[in-house]
Amino acid sequence: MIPFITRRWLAALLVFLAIANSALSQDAVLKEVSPEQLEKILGDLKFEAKKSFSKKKDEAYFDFMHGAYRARLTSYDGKDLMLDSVFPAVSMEKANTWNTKAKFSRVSIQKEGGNFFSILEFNFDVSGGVTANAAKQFVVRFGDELKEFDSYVGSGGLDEKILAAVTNDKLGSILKTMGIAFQMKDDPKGTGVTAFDFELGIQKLRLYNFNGKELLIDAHFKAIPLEQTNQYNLSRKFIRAVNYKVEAQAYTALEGCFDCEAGVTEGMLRQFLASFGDEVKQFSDFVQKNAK
Amino acid sequence: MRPRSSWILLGLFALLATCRPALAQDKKVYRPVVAEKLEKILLDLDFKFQKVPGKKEGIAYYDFKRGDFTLRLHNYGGQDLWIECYFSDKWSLEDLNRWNSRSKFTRAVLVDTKDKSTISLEAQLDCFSGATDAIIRQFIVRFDQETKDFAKFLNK
Repeated sequence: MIPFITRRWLAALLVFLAIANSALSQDAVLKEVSPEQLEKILGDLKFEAKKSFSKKKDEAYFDFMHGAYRARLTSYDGKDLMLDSVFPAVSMEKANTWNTKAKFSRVSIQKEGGNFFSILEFNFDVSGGVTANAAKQFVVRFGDELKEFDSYVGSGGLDEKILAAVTNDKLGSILKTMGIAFQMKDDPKGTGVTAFDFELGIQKLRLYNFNGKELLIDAHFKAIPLEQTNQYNLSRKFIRAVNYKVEAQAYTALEGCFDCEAGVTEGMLRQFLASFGDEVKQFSDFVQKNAK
Repeated sequence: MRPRSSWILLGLFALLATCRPALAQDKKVYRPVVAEKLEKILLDLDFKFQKVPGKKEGIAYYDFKRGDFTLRLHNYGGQDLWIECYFSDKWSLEDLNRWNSRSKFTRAVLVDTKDKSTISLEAQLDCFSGATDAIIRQFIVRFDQETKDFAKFLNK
């Protein structure tokens, strides 16, 4: 029988070891970080992350809101980590200035489907050893970088000048810098409406400029039943699908509208055009899938 | 006694001094659209709202009455705004499509739940590339007008 005093000492020792173990595990050095450990780190920091993996399962992705910013934490086989967040495009000069001044992060300008954007990235090499606390600090510090970069992007950036009206020259210039070849249809009736015809892949699009105050962009597809049109409208943002019948020819149009009455920046115009390009792909897939 | 013209000039300067900050705000692009900013815009428009937090962090809803209509403004993490008004009228998809073909900035969709069908008149504003006070105000005020136009359209 263990004497009472010894039992008390043993109990105290066990409690001490439990606390010490917990503290030590935060400082235990890891040579690689498992997805489960990363999930715990994000959870401890009160971030709700959606986890996914690459096809080969060698990369784990955690998508979450870092304050007001969408962020992704990528684990490359547990040996190095990267945090990134997407921002509107900045000029090469502005990106370079950030990269020369920032301590921990870097920005790169990337292009996808005609859309330019900036990616703020922050990397961490785990292979030399990392503690849970250090990994947490890496995630927390990225929050500071996000705010600083956002403030930097917002401070008189390339795309920040407010345009009181959207001129045809401005639209043409934006389409050109997005690598989009277009044909401008003059305004023969003097109604103040100009059309820009261009293609994205095999899809024809038309952008209307209503006197510099409103923009409408559309793409025509074969007619789909109104139930599907309504179903699509329920599932997406920023666009609408509408059925038309013109001279006995029925079709479904995907439309995007932009109210420029209160002013607009070049960045907003690019975003409007680029995101509609993505929507066209989505709708095309939807039409094809439902045609089967 | 100061000449009258001086008082007029002083009054003009005072007016300009108060207007300039407001005008400057209208031209300042910001991202994301934080709650405080959105709430100030609603208050400046004299829209008395009730704020409802969303289930997920960063999402909030603002309910306010405009005449006979209840509007809901959604703020999705400051990245995009959504505004909607529900109507319980029974209309066909053809009629809603007719609205969508003529309306500029809104869409009407039929929302089917187990119990009933409801028409949602809605519009979204993509704030990813930033917004200004003027843009957000225009978005809300425009939708307010479209709601009245839609109600007239339904009653025809």
